[in-house]
Amino acid sequence: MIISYKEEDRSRIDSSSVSAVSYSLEYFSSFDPTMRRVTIAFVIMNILAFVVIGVRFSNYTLRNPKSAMKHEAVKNQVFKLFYHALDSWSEIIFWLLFFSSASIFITFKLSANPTLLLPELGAPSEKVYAAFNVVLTMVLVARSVAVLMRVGE
Amino acid sequence: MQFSDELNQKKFGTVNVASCNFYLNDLLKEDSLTNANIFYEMFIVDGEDRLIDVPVLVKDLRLADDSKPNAGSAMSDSMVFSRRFIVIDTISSVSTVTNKLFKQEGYVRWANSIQIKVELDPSAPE
Repeated sequence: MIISYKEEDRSRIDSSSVSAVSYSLEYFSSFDPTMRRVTIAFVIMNILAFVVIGVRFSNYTLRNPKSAMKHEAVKNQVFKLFYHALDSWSEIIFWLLFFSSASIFITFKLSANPTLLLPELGAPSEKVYAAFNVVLTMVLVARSVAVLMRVGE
Repeated sequence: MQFSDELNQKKFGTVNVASCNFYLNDLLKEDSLTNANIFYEMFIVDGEDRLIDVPVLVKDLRLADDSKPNAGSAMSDSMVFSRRFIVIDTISSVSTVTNKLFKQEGYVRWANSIQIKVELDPSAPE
């Protein structure tokens, strides 16, 4: 329970003095442990993404040696490296977002006793939503650019 | 607020936010105030009818050394919690009891914001 007080000098109070008061009751779950686990998974998935990008780019260079591409080799390789980076990273991180959101939702829906609440909208859960929205936006942008690169290839 | 809202307030998981304005002049009519200068303690009744005391964080708490341990917005170990709280205080700032004019002196204090936050414990559904 959190209380804030106000005070006023008696001599300053007249018939028109007004004050606002508020009362709120809210239930919430701490998402700090979940955010820690998701952050660790995010780091691991990024490492995995870099490995996948390296393997895909390596396969590309093996299939398309510089000697076969002549003077456009560097340009093509930079393009492909950029494409693989956006494509692989967005795909892997998407599944991280999907499974982390799904695990929270399924845990919430399957709980027989009230042990977990979904993060509420507004300031108290801003940290959770801000992190999710930033990563989701990055994934959407990366995926869109990768698709456009693939189309324009 | 309707009567059904009043009943729903006591149901588990019901988020409730209410605010209003009141005339400070009413605080000076001490004889008609039924909840002034009363210390309250809050308890929760658990599933086995045990009373669980609720810690109270007074944001404006000022210690004897003039420090304000509860002033920050983030929770910290240095914060001081208490058990009792008061809703309206009209007498603690009055220094002289015998002065007939004492009701014209000093301050009145009131709780302008009360927040009750219930954090669910995943390891103990109760």
